[in-house]
Amino acid sequence: MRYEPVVAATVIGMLGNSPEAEDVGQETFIRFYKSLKNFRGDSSVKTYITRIAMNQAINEIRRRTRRGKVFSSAPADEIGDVPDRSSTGSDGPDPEVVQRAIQKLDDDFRSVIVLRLIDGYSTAETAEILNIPVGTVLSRLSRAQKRLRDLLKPVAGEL
Amino acid sequence: MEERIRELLYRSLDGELSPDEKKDLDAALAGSQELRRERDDLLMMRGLAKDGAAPSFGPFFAQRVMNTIRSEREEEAAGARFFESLLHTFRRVALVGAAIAVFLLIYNINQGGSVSVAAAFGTEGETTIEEVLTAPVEETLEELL
Repeated sequence: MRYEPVVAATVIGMLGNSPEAEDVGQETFIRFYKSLKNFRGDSSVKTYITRIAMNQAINEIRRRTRRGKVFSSAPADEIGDVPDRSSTGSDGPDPEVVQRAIQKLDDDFRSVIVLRLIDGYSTAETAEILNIPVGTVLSRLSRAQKRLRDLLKPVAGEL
Repeated sequence: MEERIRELLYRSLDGELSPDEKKDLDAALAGSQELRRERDDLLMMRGLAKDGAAPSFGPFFAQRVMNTIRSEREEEAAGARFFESLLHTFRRVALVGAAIAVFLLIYNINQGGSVSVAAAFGTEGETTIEEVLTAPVEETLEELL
């Protein structure tokens, strides 16, 4: 599937590698298929399907919040007990640790990090997908990266 | 570290800086090892975020999506067929009902001998409940017996 990687990166980036992530991924493609007749071509297909994926992921987060489901038993400032890369001879923490740290961010911060850093969208495209001004994207990115750096400091001395 | 310079550092990674801002940031980077380390950390963190992205949902995901879409389409088609047959049946019942109603109206008018709403519905000459309630008891009993 041509767009599976971008949908997977968006949904798993937002929800973590959870059982719900695949359901949200499936729902994204089903909604995309059903809404194809309404697609006017104002944006690229990739941007369009990413917007659906992001909205579905945000809806799932709201459902989880309503259900009172706890994302992780680890406290908000801890990202788990994963060895950093220095122990394996490479620089910095493991990418998995970074993904865990991303999961600890607030939804607003996480969405800009996922779209900009993981999916690789420009700030303008990120703003378009989230329907917020570019200035807001930039300020959220800045705050999110500061927060990420703080979260990663305990597991990697370099950060 | 000056907060403005730090803001410029973060903004430089995602947005454009004015020539003056870029000059200020470059000067600050040249003079601060701490700022250079922060920039390197940020670049590494951004690289790791991308490296750790999940590339797929797992094997047979596309097949599962296609199966779900196919079964939904089949369900929709079955629903549409049901309503179509229901509409077809209802149309027949409605036509037969209308024909019976017209026949009864004409029959009642013929039996009543007059053209009125009461004759059409066959209620002409019938005792109403008000008449029964207001009539003397003996008369009512006599009529009922």
